[in-house]
Amino acid sequence: MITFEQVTKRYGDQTVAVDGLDLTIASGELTVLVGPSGCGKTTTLRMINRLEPASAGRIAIDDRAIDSLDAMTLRRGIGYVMQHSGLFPHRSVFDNIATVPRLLGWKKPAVQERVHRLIETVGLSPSLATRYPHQLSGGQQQRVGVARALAADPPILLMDEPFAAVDPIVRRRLQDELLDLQARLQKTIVFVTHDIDEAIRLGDRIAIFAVGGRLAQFDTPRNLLAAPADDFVADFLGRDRELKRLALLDVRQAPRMHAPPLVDNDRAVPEAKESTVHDWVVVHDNAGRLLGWRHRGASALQPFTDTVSPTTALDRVLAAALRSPIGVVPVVDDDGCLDGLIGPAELRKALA
Amino acid sequence: MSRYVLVLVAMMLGLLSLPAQAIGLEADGLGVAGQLVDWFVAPAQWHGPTSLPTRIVEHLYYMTSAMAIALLIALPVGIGLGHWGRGGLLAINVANMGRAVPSFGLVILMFLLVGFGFVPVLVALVALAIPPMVTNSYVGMQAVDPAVRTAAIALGLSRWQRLFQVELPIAMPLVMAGIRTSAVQVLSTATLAAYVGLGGLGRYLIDGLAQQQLAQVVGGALVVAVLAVLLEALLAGLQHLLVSPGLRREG
Repeated sequence: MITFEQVTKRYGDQTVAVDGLDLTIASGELTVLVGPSGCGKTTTLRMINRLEPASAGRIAIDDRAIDSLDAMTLRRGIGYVMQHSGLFPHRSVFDNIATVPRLLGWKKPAVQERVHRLIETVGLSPSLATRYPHQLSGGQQQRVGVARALAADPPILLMDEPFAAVDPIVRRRLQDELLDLQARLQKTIVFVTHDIDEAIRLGDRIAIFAVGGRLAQFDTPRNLLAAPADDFVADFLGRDRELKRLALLDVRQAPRMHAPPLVDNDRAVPEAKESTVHDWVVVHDNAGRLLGWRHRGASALQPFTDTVSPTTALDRVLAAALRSPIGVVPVVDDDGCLDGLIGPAELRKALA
Repeated sequence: MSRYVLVLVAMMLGLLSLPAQAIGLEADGLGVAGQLVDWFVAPAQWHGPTSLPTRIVEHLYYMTSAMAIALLIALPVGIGLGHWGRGGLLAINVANMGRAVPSFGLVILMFLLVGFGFVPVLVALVALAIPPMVTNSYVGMQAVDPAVRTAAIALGLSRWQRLFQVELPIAMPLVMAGIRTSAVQVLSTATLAAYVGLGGLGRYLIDGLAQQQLAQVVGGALVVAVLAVLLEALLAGLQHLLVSPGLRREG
């Protein structure tokens, strides 16, 4: 647990980077600090390992003030990953990763074992161990940066816009890998980004900073999107924040439309009962398997181009519903059975 | 490297093809090439206090003493200023002013001040050697990527660990470039020692000119040039050992 109590950071010319910050970062969670440039998010991060000293207030890790430790000891216990990997160009991948274990005086075999395991953990080929940073791609450099930060197994990992300098496809993959890594390692991660989509994708909790170093809101992505505290937060989340909320939910969290637009092909349904609102029906067989759809009263069945599963994210459901000729998309469960329909009305209810 | 060898070969060919008369020196029927060979193979050239090996040892002694002192002054100054990032411009400008002082003038000045001996020569050579090493090591240290410096701090390296394990190794190519430049300059300028009555390879140049013996002058100059090339090769090899392969990019 990292706690900020009334922490202020002022620079020489009286510029206030962080203003009276109160923030508690829970252990084992990935907390994202996000905001426009100049909002103090990076300064906040850098105060944790004392790259920047706080001007006032108290910062503590597990109730122990960070000032009570020697700066080097503190830093060796906190992993740090930065935007441009900051790898040592004169050291091989192996030696870069081995930096902190060696500083801590680990024995040679222990260092070797640890480094080789980390190279695998971050998804690098073992053959890269003897390479030098300039021989690696941007994505590989970031992976080495993460491995170096994790080398001495610190409980806390600070990440300062680590994926900002790689291309979008690699960034997406690195984000996935980080989530995967975090699921296994359960570190306390503090992650700085200016990209709200990245924050929503990665964060267990998000702290949104406003210019002037003010904490505008601190909550889970869902709560933030559902109830922005003020106009600044709403604006920062974007006009498409309902779409972002949809992306965080899946089919199981949405209501579904069932009969009457859903009919069993083997039972004759009186035309009058088919539907009062819709001019189409979705047809399944008596085992519950989806057959297709037809116009009311017509007999020719048409196939669906898209179906969704219970775990499909709702933003994809919306896209599929918009593509569907009848404006709704059928949900097909793992056994191949039709489990209701979802359209815009159901999506609205899911957000309500 | 190969550049130096080419220049050297061209110089030799040019000189050797000159008939002695062309430069107005005594003509005894032999061309410069023949005189040069005579000069090299003369028994006195290989034994005794004025022999070639003795002169070379003297010459190298002047150079290494001056370089040792200059290294002790220039590297801490250049590296320290580059590391702290303060006062660098001042130091470089002072060093560059030092470059503008002619070594010959300095030798004579020091000679007038302290008289005969090694000191005037040493002062002039040290003054000559310092500027390239200060400038190059300062620039090398300054050029270390700020992200790398930050990373080193964030990983928990102490100031000295950062200096010796990160910044200095990264600055090493430029530090070595400065040392190479200085060493070759000092080696050739150490010929000035002969002007104030010392030995070294400069004796051949001064005595040769005084005695109007072209062979001696050319021979002495050739030996200095060959030594310079060897020194450059030696230092290039040392640099190869000292600089991490991670810093060697293509080209």
